[in-house]
Amino acid sequence: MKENKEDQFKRIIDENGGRIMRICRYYNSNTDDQKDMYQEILVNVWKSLDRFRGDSKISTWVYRIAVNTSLNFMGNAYKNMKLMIDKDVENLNVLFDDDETKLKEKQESNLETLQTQLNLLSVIDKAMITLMLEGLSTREIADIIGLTEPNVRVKIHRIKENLRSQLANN
Amino acid sequence: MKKHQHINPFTDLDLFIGGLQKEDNRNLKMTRNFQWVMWALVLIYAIVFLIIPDKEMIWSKRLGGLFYVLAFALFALVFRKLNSDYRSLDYGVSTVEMLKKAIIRYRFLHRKLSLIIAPILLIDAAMVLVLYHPELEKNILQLIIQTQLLLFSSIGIGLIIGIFIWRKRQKPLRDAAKAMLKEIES
Repeated sequence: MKENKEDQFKRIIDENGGRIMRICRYYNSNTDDQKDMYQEILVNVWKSLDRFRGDSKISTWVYRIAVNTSLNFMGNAYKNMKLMIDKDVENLNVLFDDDETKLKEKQESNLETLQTQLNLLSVIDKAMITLMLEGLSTREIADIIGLTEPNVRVKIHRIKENLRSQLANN
Repeated sequence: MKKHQHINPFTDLDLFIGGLQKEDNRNLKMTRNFQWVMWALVLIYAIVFLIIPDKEMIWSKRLGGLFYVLAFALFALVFRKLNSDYRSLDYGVSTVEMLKKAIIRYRFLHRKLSLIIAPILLIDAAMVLVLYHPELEKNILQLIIQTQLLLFSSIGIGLIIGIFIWRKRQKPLRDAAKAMLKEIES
């Protein structure tokens, strides 16, 4: 029996609610703002559901909505968008290459510096960082943002190089 | 205050979904109501000017009535087209695609707005024809000028308000979308 829209929406939120909430936490330190953004994303999932054709994974589709909503959420104040990370963020080590063990060990003490450097990035670079922290592959990130995979790899490489040199200086 | 804030999706998703469905139905109802108003005007004007006109109604008034009927019918169809296009916002596309669509959507002048030129011209002609009376034949030029002044000053006021609203609300969003797209593509 074909799933109706309401059941499909509930299933999507059950399976992806955690992802959506993490995206909201990356962009808002305030709990009320996180909830506002979460609601906005849910509204946009509902509105976009009729047009979902299953040509991508549901999680990829939800990430697209979450990223696009977060960019729209700020409106013309998007340049002020802050990225929030804490030591409990999984996959924080993806921001550093595998052989940079010394830098990884210093993650906690360098968290504030890392936070500052991340907030100097462009809005789109910040969006890519959140997707990296979600453990997505470059292919998935390219699919969400709408760039080619090589393009995303180059951008990520530049971000990592920049972060590494800034943290090393500090 | 953000919309839906009175319903918390964290504690009651069913209630939240109910709120979304209610809003969908409300938007649909508003769209339908506007169209019903247009089609009602089509019917009323058709009855008054064409189907059961006053026996003493002169040809120019009947022709003006026909133009009103056509104008309202076109407004109803154009509105349905513009509204369905506007409602087709899809946040599930890639960020690049969403930004490109936002840049087009938040333009001040859309190609689709040219669809309202025909009904406006029909209203213009209808106004002149309905107000025209043979005894005014000598002053027909004055009548035309007066109706043009009235119509185009109304359109002008609407345009000024529209520009003001666009500059305040949509232009900043368009500028932000253009800047973000430039960042992505650099």
